[in-house]
Amino acid sequence: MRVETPEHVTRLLKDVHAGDREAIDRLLPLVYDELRDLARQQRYRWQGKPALNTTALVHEAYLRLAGGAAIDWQNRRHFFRIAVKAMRYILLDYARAMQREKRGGGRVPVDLDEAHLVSEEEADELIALNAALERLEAVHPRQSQIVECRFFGGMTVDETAAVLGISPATVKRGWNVARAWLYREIRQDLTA
Amino acid sequence: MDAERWEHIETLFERALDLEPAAREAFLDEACGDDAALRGEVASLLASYTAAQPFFARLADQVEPIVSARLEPPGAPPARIGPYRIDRELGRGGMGTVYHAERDDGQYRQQVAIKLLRREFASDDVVRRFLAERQILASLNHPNIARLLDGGMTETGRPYFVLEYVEGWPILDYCETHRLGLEARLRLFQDVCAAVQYAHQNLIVHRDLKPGNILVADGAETGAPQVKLLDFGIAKLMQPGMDGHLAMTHTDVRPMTPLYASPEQLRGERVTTASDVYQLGVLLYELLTGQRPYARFEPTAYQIERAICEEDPPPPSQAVPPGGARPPWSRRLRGDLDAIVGKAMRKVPDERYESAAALSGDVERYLEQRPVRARRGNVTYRFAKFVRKHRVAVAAAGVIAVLLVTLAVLSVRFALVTARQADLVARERDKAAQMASFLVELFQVSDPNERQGTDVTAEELLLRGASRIETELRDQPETRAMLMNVIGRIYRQLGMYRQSETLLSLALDERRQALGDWHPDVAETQQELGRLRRAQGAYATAESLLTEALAMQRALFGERHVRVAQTLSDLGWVLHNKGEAGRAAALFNEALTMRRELLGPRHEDVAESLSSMAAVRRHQGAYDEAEQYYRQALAMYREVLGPEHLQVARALNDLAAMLQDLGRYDEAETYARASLDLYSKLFGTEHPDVATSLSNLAYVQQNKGDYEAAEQGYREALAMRRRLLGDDHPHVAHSLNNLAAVLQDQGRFEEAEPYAREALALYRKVFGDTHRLVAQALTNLGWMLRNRGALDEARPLFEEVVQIRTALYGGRHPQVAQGRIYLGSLLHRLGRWPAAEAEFQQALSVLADSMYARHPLRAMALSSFGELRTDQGRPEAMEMLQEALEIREAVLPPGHWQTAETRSALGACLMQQGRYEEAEPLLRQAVQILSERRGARHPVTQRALARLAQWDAARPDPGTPSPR
Repeated sequence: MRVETPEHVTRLLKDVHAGDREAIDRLLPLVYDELRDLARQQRYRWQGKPALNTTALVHEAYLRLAGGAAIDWQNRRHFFRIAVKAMRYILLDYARAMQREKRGGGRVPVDLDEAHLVSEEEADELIALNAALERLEAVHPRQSQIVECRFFGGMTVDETAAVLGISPATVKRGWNVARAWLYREIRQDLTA
Repeated sequence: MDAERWEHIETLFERALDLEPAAREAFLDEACGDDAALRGEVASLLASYTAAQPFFARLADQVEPIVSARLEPPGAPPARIGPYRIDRELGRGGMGTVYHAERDDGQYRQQVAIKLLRREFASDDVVRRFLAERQILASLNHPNIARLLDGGMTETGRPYFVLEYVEGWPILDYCETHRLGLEARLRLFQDVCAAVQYAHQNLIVHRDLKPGNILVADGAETGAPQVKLLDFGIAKLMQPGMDGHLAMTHTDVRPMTPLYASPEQLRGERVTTASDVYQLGVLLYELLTGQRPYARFEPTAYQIERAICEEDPPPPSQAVPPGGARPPWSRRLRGDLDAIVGKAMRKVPDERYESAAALSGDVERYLEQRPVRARRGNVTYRFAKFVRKHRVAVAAAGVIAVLLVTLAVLSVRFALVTARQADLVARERDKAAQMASFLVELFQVSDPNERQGTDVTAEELLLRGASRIETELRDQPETRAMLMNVIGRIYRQLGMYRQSETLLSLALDERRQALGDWHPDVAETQQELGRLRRAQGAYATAESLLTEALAMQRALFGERHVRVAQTLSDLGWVLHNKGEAGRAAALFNEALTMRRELLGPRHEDVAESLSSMAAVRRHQGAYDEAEQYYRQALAMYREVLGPEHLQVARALNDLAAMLQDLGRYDEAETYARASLDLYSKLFGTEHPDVATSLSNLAYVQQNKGDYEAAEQGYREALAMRRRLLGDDHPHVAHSLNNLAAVLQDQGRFEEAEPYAREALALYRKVFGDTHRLVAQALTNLGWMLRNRGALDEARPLFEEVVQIRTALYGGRHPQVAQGRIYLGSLLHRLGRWPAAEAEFQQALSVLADSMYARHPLRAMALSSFGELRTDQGRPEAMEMLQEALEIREAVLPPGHWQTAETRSALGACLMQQGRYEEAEPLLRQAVQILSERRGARHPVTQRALARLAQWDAARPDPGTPSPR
């Protein structure tokens, strides 16, 4: 049972907009939970595109959390930034769970639909990706946001530009260099 | 690497990327000059870029499948699917269309059924997973399961399954058309169970067992009916992609039809083999009665879903089919078959048969006329049912947990033993077995079937348990002690402290004797006893018991352990009760941090820690923070425990008390009522917590000025507390104190004074002289003395209040401010104006924080100080009184005596400045309200009357009646 009301979420978003760091911390788990639920339900509809097409999911979570409350674009932008971060954590959790499964436990009779979604190698890669992203975030937070929007949020260059308030050219450039950088880091991590 | 260097690298990288690969070397040579590190970095990024693109594409492709496909209207049946030639349509369902087809690719001829899925299932992921799982499903090789033969994708990208074609009737139709009798139906049902059991052993769950999925054919060779289950594993495989759109609710993952769904499926919870057992139960019900268990709720989807989750269906023997014609065997259903269906269809998965085979086995027992398992004492079920029936035993729900956990722990211990420990293990096993059989017998008697008419009450049950411990477990001291500990705890939770004390003291003695002083079980009982002592108000004993238990647990379990956290919290409460807020806060905080680390962010224990933090912050005056904690705790309890739980009632009560502190009386009353309602629902009318809740509601009513209701509430609470807690309990003192306060609010000083003195004496006796409740009682008594004119007697009392509160909270606390306001006002009446002024100044400086801008306490300070300023002839009096009036009008309910008091004071101030016309309505209204609310004899009314008389005497033109 979730008790957070749309009003509550709207207020948190306003606070985020006003620069309240704590509001982000309070909002993130809400968004996270919502997305994780949705992702669990929607996991099977993937079409296969070069990035995760999770924009619809984010929109959906947004509608659910915000209810009928009117929220302006400024807040929507904040929401999207938080949502893609949440998406990242969802995948990370999933990958970690995969790794745990690899280390322990055998098959249980009930999890036909949980198995084989991500291979062990992919789980390792996702975890390495997250670690690399954290390092990137430390040096260049905007790059890391671009990756979150493009990869985890499945947004187009233009959507990413709108959400982050930067030019599409900057997004494109950042996406290219960040991928190259992350790939190198991940490879180093995984072969180390 | 810093951001600037990153920018530089990024720019070079991007420009190099735009160049032909051949030209990049030269470009880098030139751009980087002799910065070898820079060149190396950009070159390495360029090198990984080529591989990065496909890497991310693949990762994304494989990682999280999400997007919804579009719905597509069903087209005409295809002529072929793969190597199969479509013959005709067999049916349509939620997932797609089923065709009859024949394989005719020249290899061999075979009749099959092809299930062609709808467009929205055609995502890559479904197909990929299907291909992966196909092997498992195809490996199901059982005579009662229709084989999955093949599967794949059509040219247009729609997945399909190829299944063994079964010519037969849906099982119910078969039974009807062949006029099968009871035994024949049960044998068919056993065949179904066997097929389900086989699949479960192969790790596959059906999840959509329903008559339409179970076909029966006349066996070709034997002529005996042959059961075939369709769609095994497919429902589970397809489920998550079922809805074609992004739905707005959480109810997406659910079966096609709720008619056969289990409660956990409807709730979207984890589906296991137990769900199949449930669906087998529904099938059996329908086979036996000719109708579904929730037939009467079927017209609306919502109703049936609610019924499945909440209602028990009529037992099969009571089911009346739509036509009213019961099957000829309906009388034979009573008893065993009713019980078998009931056990298969339990709401809680763990209470059902543990497997399809077990269900079938009980049917076998029935057929062989042996006693069925379903009617044997199922302790868990009976206990759970008992708890459900007796809301009082919500407290006892904790006991179930304790008992079950104990049993679980014991069985784990069995698993971990070495040969050396065999002796110990044998003892543990005996203990567990004794306890189990003890409980079985205890609860067997509470089975209404065995004890017609009346239900056993929780008290009876406990009494029976306690006396049997004495008689029957005489030779098993450890088991005895364990049970005494458990039952002692329930007694405490039920507010039966004396009984609890007897059992816990015995348990502690026995455990010490049997186990020595240093043992987890000894710590456990000490902790339990510590909690009891706290509940009894014996805080010093409670503190020493808990401190000892804590030290023992830390040594035995380590610094970070849930039990350590629990004891920290218990100890914190004792300190809190003793008024040692600082130490309490530190312990609560430690427990909160530990629990979050050990149990995760959302857990009952974390909620407990949040509310304890709230309590201590509230008493430290950090109201905003306290409110946050309280609301978090309330929300978490509701989430974790459900809306009707003792902890929710407590959290509501705490929040009400807090809002009341803040002067938000209407909100406070709402929560207080909700809390009292819930408490009464859970505990009935007689319980210490009900008394507390009653008292808190009365307090809100008192503050709102509803004195009669408040007085009645306090008197009820006082009587209940004396009955339940004895005369020397601090809660009795609370009630005395409250009653005195509300009596004096009504001007009944003579009646009030003895109560106030009794309360003060009791508090001093229990808590010593420096305690917040002693200060509270002193305040009340001080006002009583002041109001009956004994100003000199009152003065040392108020001085002691300020002194105690400063010692407890430091100088800058609203409680101190309140004491100073009272003292200041008294000094004003005593004519000691400079001393009074100093008190008011200090009070207002504490209340200067914006948090108190609209607080009733600040209004009180302004009003009292304003009166002094008026007497001093100081001009700022007017502004103060106006602000006080404004706050009181806004915050207090209309017609509150305090508002009237300020009106009168403001009237006096206006009069002093010669503004008689403005003064008159204020003075008159004040007199009217105060006479009504406080009575004519009350000093505050007397003063208002005196001011009005002064106005009468002093107005400029006494001959002209002033306009009303």
